[in-house]
Amino acid sequence: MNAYKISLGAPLYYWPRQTVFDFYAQVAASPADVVYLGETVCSRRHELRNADWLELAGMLHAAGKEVILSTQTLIESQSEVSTLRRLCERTDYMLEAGDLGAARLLQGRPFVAGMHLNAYHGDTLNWLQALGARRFVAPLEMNREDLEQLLDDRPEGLESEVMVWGRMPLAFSSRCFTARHYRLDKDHCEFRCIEHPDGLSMRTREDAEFLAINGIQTQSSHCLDLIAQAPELAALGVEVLRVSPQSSGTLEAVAALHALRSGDARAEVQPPAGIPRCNGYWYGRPGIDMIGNP
Amino acid sequence: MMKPPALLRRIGPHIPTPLPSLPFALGLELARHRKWLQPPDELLDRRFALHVTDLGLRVRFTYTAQGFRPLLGGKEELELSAGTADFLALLRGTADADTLFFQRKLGIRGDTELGLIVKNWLDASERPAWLQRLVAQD
Amino acid sequence: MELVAPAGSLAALKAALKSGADAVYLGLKNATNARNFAGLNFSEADIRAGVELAHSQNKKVLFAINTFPQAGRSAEWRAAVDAAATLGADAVILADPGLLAYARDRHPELRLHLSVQGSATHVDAIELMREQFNIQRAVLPRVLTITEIEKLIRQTTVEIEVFGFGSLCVMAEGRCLLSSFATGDSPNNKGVCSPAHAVRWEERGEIMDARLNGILIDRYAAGESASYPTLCKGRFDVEGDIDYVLEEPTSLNAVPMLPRLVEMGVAALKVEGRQRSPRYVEEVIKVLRTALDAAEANPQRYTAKPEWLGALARHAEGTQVTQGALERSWK
Repeated sequence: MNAYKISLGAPLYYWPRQTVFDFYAQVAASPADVVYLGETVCSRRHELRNADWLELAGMLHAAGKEVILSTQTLIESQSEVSTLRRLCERTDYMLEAGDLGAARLLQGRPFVAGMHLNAYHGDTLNWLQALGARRFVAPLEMNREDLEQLLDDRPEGLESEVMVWGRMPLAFSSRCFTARHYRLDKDHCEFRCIEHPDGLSMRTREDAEFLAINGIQTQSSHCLDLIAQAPELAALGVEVLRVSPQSSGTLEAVAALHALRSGDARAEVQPPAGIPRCNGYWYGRPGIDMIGNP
Repeated sequence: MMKPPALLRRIGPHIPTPLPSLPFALGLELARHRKWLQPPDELLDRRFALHVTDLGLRVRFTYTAQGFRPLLGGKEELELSAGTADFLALLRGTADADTLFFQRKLGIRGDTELGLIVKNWLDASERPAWLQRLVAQD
Repeated sequence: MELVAPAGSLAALKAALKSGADAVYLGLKNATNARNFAGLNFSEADIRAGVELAHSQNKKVLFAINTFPQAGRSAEWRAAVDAAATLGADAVILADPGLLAYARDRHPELRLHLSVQGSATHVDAIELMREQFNIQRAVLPRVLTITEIEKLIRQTTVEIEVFGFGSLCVMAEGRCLLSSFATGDSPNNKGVCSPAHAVRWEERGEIMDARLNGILIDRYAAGESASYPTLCKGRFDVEGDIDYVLEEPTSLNAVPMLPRLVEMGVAALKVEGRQRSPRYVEEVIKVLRTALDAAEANPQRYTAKPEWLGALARHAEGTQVTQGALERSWK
């Protein structure tokens, strides 16, 4: 089996500063190879300042990790454009482009094309590589057959990355759903996201788990779990498998992926309490489905 | 709003479904022969029911390669229910099916996609002038 | 400002032209367009007739080919672009960079619009598309306030098209996978959102349940207005609080803002609704034509007339209207 790298996606939640620092201290000691950092969801979040992210980046780089800075996914104001431009001027780390605007600012040098850039077919991969992309993250809704086809059609030298664990970021809005839930204005949101380290579950009126709200982002309520498919992903030629940080289970997911690539049996990884698992997209089914042991 | 005749309203619920279904299917078939109705292939061998709620009247029919036929056995896949006036407005093309549905004046039961095909087909069909006059209420 | 109307069928196209649209947008009968609904869209013969009719009145026809070509199937999307060029499209509305690259190379004379599905929300995203593909116009996702749109227009030569009326998409278009999470099919991969084949209405007495692939999206009490079970507009439970968590069933209505949009230099106003009936197109376009003419003729004295708003509200989803993200307070 081809060995894959294990990555940690940029944290999607608003965790207290100390929690973030404690988390990355553990990540530094973990078998993760690649770490994406930065606030990608909401520009109002401020527990970590730019300097804090750079301090974490330096620490993780010193621990031997490949550090990549991720840009915000949905840019909706001139001030966010300015922040994005400043970030894209950095040359000490590679960047992950969260949208087409970031790709413009990063063109001509190596960058990672994020999953929300919608690279569904070979022509788009060729275009991204011509701009400078070194790696692309596959769209979440892509199934196994399509991924195989996409990898067949990709240009030489372009790495691929697939998210395999964590609640999936499914949608972005200019509206903040967390603030709306608390009947607050987005501009006076009281930063209530900080109370929900895995987002807020949104159930149906029959009490079925469905989605989760995380500020302006809507996620799957279910935790994606493609850890069992890691050997298959590696056989398809996927170079990097991504774990998206949750309040618990994240490092266990990294450890399980590491055990698998080392030829050891993996342990079952438990998502945070009350969060079910899903893997439907991989099988060409609704993403919410779970095929195999639930 | 046009009200159905009181007598029909009273006896409607007591008429067994096959009785009105036959003349109704014949009417559709006549319209098809005159090329006023040209159903798309997606409707072939699908089974329908219309429920005129204020009359308490239900007709069931199917569309086959031979044309419209009353549906005597088997369960319909799609049932549309509405009052007389709303059905007539839909027929004339003066009502928007979505709007009626949002207002709970048009009910859809069964295969929603089939309902959408029917709706889109009716929307796309241009009504002959006589039909607009026939069912005009003003 | 150009008034751009939806057309899901030839009858809708005729209704749009009759009511005063400057341009109509339409799609082919397959997954290459983002309103790929059962029984909807155009056959080639319909398109020929529609284009001829529009051009005879000096109106434009825009072809939406705005889903993302799926792996290994680029040829289907390329064929749609070729067909649009052959059939006399005045522009094609595309979202995918790979397909834009094809259109630029193969049909250099064809005018390119970046679809709302292309998800370009700021100057750098739009300028990249201009530099790379020479796009002439970008349709903005419904995430920007009117103030931000104004700033954006000053920074780019690309024409800006905004949504003026129709069902409101609460998410940044092109980056929403909620529908495929619930049903397998999304705007990006199949050109649908909350597709009808997954919808079931269940009535129990006066109560009606709306389900999407079995998932309860909403439950309507007796006499309560229903809406299409678009999954972002249902009622759900967050911490025991049952509400429209993401958005109410509502329509966008920018009619009160028309003079401002004209003055800012918005190039085109788009009406949503290729899935709606010719009747809807006719009535909505008629009102918008009247309002737009009034806004352009005398912006200072313009007020949105109650009869316009009433007519539009009758066709709005859930009969509610909002100015959406155009107004900061909506967020």
